[in-house]
Amino acid sequence: MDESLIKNLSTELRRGTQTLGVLSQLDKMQYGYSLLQDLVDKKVDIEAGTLYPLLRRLESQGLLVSEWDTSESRPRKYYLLSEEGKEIFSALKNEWQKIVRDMAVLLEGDLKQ
Amino acid sequence: MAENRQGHGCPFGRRFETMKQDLRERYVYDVTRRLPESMRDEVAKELRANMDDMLPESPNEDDLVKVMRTLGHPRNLANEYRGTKRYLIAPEWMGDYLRVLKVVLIVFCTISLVFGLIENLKSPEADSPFLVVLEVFSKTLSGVIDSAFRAFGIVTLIFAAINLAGQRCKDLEKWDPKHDLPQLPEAHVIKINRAGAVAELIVGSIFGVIWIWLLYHHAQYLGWWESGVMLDPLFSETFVQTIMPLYLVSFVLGLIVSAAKLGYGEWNPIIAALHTLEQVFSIVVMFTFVGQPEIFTHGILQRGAEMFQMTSTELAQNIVKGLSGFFIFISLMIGIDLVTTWVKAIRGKKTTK
Repeated sequence: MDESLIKNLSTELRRGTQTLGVLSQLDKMQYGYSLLQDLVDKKVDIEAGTLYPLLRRLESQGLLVSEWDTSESRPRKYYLLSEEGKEIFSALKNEWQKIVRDMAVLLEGDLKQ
Repeated sequence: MAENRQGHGCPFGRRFETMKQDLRERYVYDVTRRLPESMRDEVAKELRANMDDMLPESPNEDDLVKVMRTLGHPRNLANEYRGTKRYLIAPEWMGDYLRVLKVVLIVFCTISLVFGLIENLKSPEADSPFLVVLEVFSKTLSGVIDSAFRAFGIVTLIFAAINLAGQRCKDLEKWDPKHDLPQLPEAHVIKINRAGAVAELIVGSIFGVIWIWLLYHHAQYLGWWESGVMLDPLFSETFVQTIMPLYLVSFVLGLIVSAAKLGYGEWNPIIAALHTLEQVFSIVVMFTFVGQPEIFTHGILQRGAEMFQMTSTELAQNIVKGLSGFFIFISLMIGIDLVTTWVKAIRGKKTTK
């Protein structure tokens, strides 16, 4: 069995879920590294080099709002779901649940054969 | 970990601090220089903050290196920040690009090969035949390479422009299946071997040009040599003057036919007709050759006659007889070839209807 092929395919499969995962954690304000730790603690595999640019993209698409906190010795950029972001997140969540149901039918059908 | 997240900066040694700043700034610079101007400052600020968050307390250089490895190569990170992928030629155009590039390269190289050979043979600087060959070969080769690069540049530029325009108008999304799809290739046509046609074109032009050049300079090079000096030219002047224009026409016809074969890629009546014209013309040239009253100079016939112990008239007659036999054999071959060519051309046409 080709291990690297399996790895590639599962990375591809997971990539689409990253946005959903990130949005799910931003109902409260978080900065990049804390969100990364959060996701890693919850066993979501995402790389720093993917997460930070993703946050910026989501912000430019209007799903997130951001704010610099300069009160502490290190400045940090905090992100939070915008109103539009909340709507989009809930639509994506429904879509995800539909995918899970649809795939379950397909995969269980496979098992029965 | 919690302390790291809150991290309040910590007393670094002054030297390490400078080194750290230096390395970190170099990384940040390497990422941001690949980004559009408008994004740079914000990304740099964010990246600095993120990198500091990822470093443990009292970091050393290894920690910084580890963080940079986690973030990945500046080019990849910059691509992630940029979001969209950029192409000189997008993947969807790649197939067309390579197809056009191949054809244009063949055409450019062939043209520059033929004209390079003619041009360089007209006025060689070297004085011995060997050096002339070397000079002509190297000059022509560099010309061919030059035009290959030019062809590559032109095609790439055009496709980059198409690519740019295509990105703007999203041409690929509003295509019309009824009009935009090409006709199916004719299924039963008989393909011409392209590699063969290319080889024919190249070999034909090289030998053709060499032969033309030799005929043109026949008085200098073709003849009876003795200790580095040519004593008698081989061909008579009147013979060369008659045969030269005929041979030139035959040579050009040959090039046209090879180019047409390459262009059409399959046997059809047009190719067959061109091929027939060329072959018949070459038969005419061959028999004009042997039909000449005076092919060779008297001097060379004299020398040959001495060698073979016969009179020079006998020698001339024998040579003409030999050549005639050889040319008749070739003509027979050409006849067979023409029949098979027409069979291919007509069968190819019928089956497509």
